[in-house]
Amino acid sequence: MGAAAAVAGVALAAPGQAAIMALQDDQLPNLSGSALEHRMDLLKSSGTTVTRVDILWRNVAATRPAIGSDPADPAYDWSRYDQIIRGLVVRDITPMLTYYWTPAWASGTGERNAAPRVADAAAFAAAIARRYNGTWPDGIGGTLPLVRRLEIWNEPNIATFWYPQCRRQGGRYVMESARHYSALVAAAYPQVKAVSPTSIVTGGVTGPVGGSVCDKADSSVGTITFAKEMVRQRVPIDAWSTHLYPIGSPRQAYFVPSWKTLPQITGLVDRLRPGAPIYVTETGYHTSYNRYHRYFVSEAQQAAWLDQTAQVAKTYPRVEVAVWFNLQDNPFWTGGLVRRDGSRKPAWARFVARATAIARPATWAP
Amino acid sequence: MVVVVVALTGAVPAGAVVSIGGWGTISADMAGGSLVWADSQPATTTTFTYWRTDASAARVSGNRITEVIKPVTVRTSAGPITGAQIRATGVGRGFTLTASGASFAGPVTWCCTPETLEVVVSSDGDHDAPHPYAAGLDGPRVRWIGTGPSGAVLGAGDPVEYAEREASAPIPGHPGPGLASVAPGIAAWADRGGSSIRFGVPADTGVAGLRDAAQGGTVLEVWAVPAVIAAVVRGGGYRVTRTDVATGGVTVVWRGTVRPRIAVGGSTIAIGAGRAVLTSRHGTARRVGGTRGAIAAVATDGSRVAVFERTSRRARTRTGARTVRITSVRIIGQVR
Repeated sequence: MGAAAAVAGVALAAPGQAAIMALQDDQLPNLSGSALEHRMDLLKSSGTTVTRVDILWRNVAATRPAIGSDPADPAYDWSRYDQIIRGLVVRDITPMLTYYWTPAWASGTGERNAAPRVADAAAFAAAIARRYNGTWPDGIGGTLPLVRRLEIWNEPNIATFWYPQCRRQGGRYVMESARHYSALVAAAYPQVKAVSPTSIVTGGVTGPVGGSVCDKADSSVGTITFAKEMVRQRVPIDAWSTHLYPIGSPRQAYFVPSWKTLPQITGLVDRLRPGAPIYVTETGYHTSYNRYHRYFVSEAQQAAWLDQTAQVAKTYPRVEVAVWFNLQDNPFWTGGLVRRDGSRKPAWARFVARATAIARPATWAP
Repeated sequence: MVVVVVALTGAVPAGAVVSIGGWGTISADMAGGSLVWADSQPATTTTFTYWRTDASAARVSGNRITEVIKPVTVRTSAGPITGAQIRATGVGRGFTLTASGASFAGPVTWCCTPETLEVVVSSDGDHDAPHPYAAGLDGPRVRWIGTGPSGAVLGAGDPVEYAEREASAPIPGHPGPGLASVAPGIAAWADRGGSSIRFGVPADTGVAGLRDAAQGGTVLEVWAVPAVIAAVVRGGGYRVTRTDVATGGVTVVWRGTVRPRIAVGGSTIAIGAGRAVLTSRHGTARRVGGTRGAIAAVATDGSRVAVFERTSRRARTRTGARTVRITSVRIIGQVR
């Protein structure tokens, strides 16, 4: 951790600290008022002390702001996120923020997965960082909480979130996303640091893709290939995020990316920032088949492999957090700890036990 | 959260004979100029908990198999997929697929949209969810038969993504893998260890006009089309029976000592018994072809029979020569 500790204003977890088992609820941004409060109560009852919150840029900025980096710009509507972040901190849950979904005005095509114009997306990162730097006035009095961890985008190596991945050039397709994303992180990093010096800017956030075959615009780019390009571009980061959805148990799965192959990723991250922490900001197992995830396990396996996830994460001192995705099932996602009808799967109790067994380090306090 | 749709194409070479790696358990069907099959492979190693069923679809032109796609793969660590069943819809290369195991409820899927995307009609991971064992397209609805702790159900859904028009109604009995079949206007099933077939007209509210047809032995497999139900029956050897849906009359069309593979298309019953391929349009089955290897599955559209044959060959690998198991598919034409 030596070199990382030298990073100005970035305090990292103590060596040997077991990874925090955290839980994300993707429904938070879709709720408001008392429904949102109840939902955060449910999240709290899981025992999680850290969570990840998706800031849907498209929803916050339906129209183009005059000054994108100014959170007070009238184009922005932060009301839902202010309530989420206030509510989480009141419940002693540390939020980690990520942002994605490009507003129609910020891309050429208007599609939500369109690769954004770098200047606009970097300015929005700065707006988030400034609003939640601990000094921004809260409309209901006092200041809004400090949120230190900001992920730049979600799964930019997958066309569902970043399009195009590849671009036709001279009769063949070449990888486009990693270079474009690198430019975004490089532009966002100094702007975020300027308004929130203790922020931990997290890059990568790569989806679970192994090999790369650039043969069409919506191809997927492999985690390692994506990371290599970011190394080539010398992108500034404070932490690296990767998503792991192993096929097989956490101990069995051997493909890239999986827990076993995590050292391949950390080796590349060290070339960006030696010793930088690794955040596994999504992991989990689906308990039924759906078109988007054709691999599933039984509910009993999900529970057992949640335990294994915590055990395996513990063997990687660089991994500070493993975020289980998701709190509850929905038609697109059956990796929840709670079924669609609200009943709890066996994995719920395992998560509660794991989450509460690990003390959140002071560096992760809200 | 990753949302990736994968449509594998050209995974299997096309031609007069198509080869599939391994000796998986095959379910197959033919209709409307297409051949579909589901290949459930056993786990490849003992240390990795993983099973899969690959569903492939091809066009059949004369006796050639062309334009093979593999649009659906069900992957799981929940247990071996023992009850995969595929049925051609007769529209394009469409099919319905169920892929359950003994210990888990697998999905019911319909393939495919014009973009070659499947629609998951039902998928329930709850421990007490019914295990779907058979599905078919019945007009605008995909209907399926499954068995859970509280008995058998007839489920239904639209082949439209997230249409949320699912229905489920109890039906009598406890069918298991291979013992149920759904086709336009008909649902048929037998209890595990039972000696009769129940059949009737499926609807969202259950099965109307329910009738029983005694088969004279333990029913091992059921395959229904609108006018005919074929069954494999054990008792004094093996038999293949034909039940006429209109009259309920049962006739034996084949007898033997090895368990046969069967399929029905039009009013033709195709039978793969040992290394012989036979068909029956009305009466006793007649031999129409043979194979060198054991028959893994047959399918028929009424005029042609697709035969899935298990063979092996010596192949050179990086670690030396070894025997490679292959399942090859070919078409026997004009079997009327």
